[in-house]
Formats: sequence, C-alpha cells, structure tokens
Amino acid sequence: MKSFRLISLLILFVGCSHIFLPKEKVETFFYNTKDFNIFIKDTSTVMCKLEMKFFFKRFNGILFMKRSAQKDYYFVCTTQFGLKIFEFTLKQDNFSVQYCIPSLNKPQYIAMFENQFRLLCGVFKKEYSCYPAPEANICVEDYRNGDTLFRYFWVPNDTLAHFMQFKIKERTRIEGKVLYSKEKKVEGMYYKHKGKGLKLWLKPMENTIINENDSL
Amino acid sequence: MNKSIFSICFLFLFSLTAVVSGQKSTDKYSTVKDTLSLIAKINGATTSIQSTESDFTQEKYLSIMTDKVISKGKLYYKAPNLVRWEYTQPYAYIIVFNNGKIFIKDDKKVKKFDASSNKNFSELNDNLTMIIQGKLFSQRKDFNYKYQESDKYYLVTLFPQAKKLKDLFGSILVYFNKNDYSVYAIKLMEAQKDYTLIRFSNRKNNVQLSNEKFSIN
Repeated sequence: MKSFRLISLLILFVGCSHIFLPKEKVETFFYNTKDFNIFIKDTSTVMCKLEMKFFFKRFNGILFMKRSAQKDYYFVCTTQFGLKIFEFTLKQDNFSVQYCIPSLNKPQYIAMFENQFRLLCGVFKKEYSCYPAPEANICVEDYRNGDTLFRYFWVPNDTLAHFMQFKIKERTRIEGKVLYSKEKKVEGMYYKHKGKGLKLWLKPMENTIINENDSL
Repeated sequence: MNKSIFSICFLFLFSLTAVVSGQKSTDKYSTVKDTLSLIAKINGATTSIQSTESDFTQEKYLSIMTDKVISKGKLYYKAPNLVRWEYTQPYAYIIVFNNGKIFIKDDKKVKKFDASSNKNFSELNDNLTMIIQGKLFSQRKDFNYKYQESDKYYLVTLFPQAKKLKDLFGSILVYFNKNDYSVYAIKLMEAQKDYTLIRFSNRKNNVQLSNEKFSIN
C-alpha cells in the first residue's frame, strides 16, 4: 500500500512537472497579453456566441462587449430569446455588476467573469504584473483580486495561448485556451473550472445583423 | 423566468389567424372600454388552431449599443405540445420542445434535455399546455393588465406582480391587429430601457407539420 502511494505520487509529480520544470532551457520569451485584445482597431463593439455550463445548468446566449472612448468596458449577455443573463461594467479599475441572474450571482462566479473579461480586454488591476519565467518559454502573470492571488501560466505561440490559472489560496485551477488570428484578434476562448464544475466557451461572430428597424 | 416569457410568446402567437407584416406604428393609444369583450374575442381566436408556422424577427435593444441587434427565424407549433424555434440569423440555432424533452441544435452540436429535470423548463411546459388550451388571460395572479387601442392595434400591457418576474421585466406589451385579433408583436421591456421586440409575419395556421419537424438528430 505504501509503495502504491509512493508510485502514485511519483506519477503525479512527473505528470505535472513539465508545467513548472521544463526539460530544455529555451530562450526567454516575453509575452505581453496586453498586445492581444478582443477589440481590434476601430472596433468598439464585439458580439460573441457564449456557451456556459456549470454543474447541471446550461446557458447559451450572445455576449455583447463594448469599449467606450474613455476605455470603459461593458459586458452584456442575453439568451437567444433576449433575456438578460448578466450585465457587467469595467470602469477604470472597478468591475461592477449591474445585473446578474441569481444562480450566477455568486462571488466566485463574478470573480471568474471579471478575471476572464480582463484577460480578453487586456485590462488588469494595478497589482498586475507580467514576467517571463526564467527558464522557459512561458509567461507568468500574477494579479490580485481582493485577498486572492491569481497566477497565470501562458504558453503562447502566434495563434494559440494555453493558460492555467491557479487560485493559490483556494488551490483551484482553471485551464483554457485563447485562439488568436495572425492579426492578434481573439477568435475564440474556452476554459473550464474544475473546482466549480464550470465550462465557458465563446466565439466572436462576424456576421452580426445590426440595423435600425422601425420601433413600436 | 422562462415560464412567463414563453407563456406570453406562445399565448399570443397561437392566437394568430392572419398574415401580418411589419408596419410603422405612429398611432396614439386610448383605453379600451369593453375589456371583457376584447378578452373573449382573443380567446376565441385560439380555439381552432392546431398548428402554426410563422416567420419571426427579434429585435434586441441594449442601451450600451448604438444599434439594435436583429435575429430572424421561423417558429413551428403543433398541438398539443410540440414547438420549434428555428433561428437562422445571426447564426443557426434551434430549440425544440417535444413531449417533455428539449432539443437544442447549435450549429452541428445537438443536445437533449429532460424538461422535468429542469424546473424552469417544466414550468414552461405546463404553461404551454395551458396556453394551447386557450386560457389566455388565466394568469391574473401574476400580472396586472392594461388595455389600450389605436386605429390599427389593441395593446395589452402586462405588469408582472411576482418578484422574480419583476426583476426581469418592467412590463410586457402585446400588440394585436384589430381586424382579426392576431398578434403583430410582443415587446418585453426590462427594468431599465432595454427591451426585446418580436414581430411575427407570414403566418399560416392549421398547416400540415410532420412530427419529424419536432425532433433533432
């Protein structure tokens, strides 16, 4: 039994070690996620298909993201039928909830949305810092949300970034991918939060139909 | 949440009896004097409908957006409880309600749910049944009603009374054509300025719809 535990631990260590202990020392690569933004030049509004799943609940909807001239950000998600799921604003350093359905209006979910939307928009708190890992082609990002320290490990190339987010105090982990075009435009994002049983996937839509219809 | 929205949508959709097209409303509205007669006529229009096929245009206004977002699609209904919302724009998305089952097709992905496993969907089914039975204004506990009319439309405004609904909607406006008591549009007003407007057009009642239409594989 004892040896079994030791072997299990060894397998676990070996399995995870590549994250922290790269076998080959490669040239240090500084990767600043601020260069990557879901808002491309001259675009102030982005629409995405959004799919969320947590535990046994699912939401499919449309996510509207807007950036004002003052660099304030607005995030509104509605269902296909137009019902609002949430509305968040990110002004300066303040992320606030304007509306959120009760089942999602939990501190841990709100914090998760804040983190991911900050990542998408490249807007981080003042505590944010980004530095390359000394021995790997990995960028490590730390920033704080309240008393919790988040640490992101990014493994990017031209079109794809893998990230793992460790919420150190709670020892939870989020894994995800961000897909970029060659123009550094976000083409999609997927992540799952095992601890909270949550998965989220979004994809910007190209052919949005927006016009001025007559009103009732 | 879903219960009342779907209730209202289907409630009035199924009462449609004629083709309507988009029109600009510039009418002034006054209070309807004989509301009981109006309710009876609207209820009467639903009783003979066994199936419906209709185009719809959904207009979403968000105060943060400068323009409205338009979705389009087709709606199918077959008595007693088969419903299919088929969005074609801005992207393909289908949701089907079929005898306690819910099917969703998003692009090529198909998902199937048991309505009874989800309270909201279960309530939705109950409401659909109620609506199909023609009990149009039976939710008097949940809403206060206001009846108005213009030259072209009857406008019934529903004010939610339950807290859950109040949190979602300030009011729900339903526009009926005056000539045949069919619905022209439904407007879901949120607590703030945001709203969703659904217009129905090219509607055909009592058409042949196969059961396969309400199943997704």
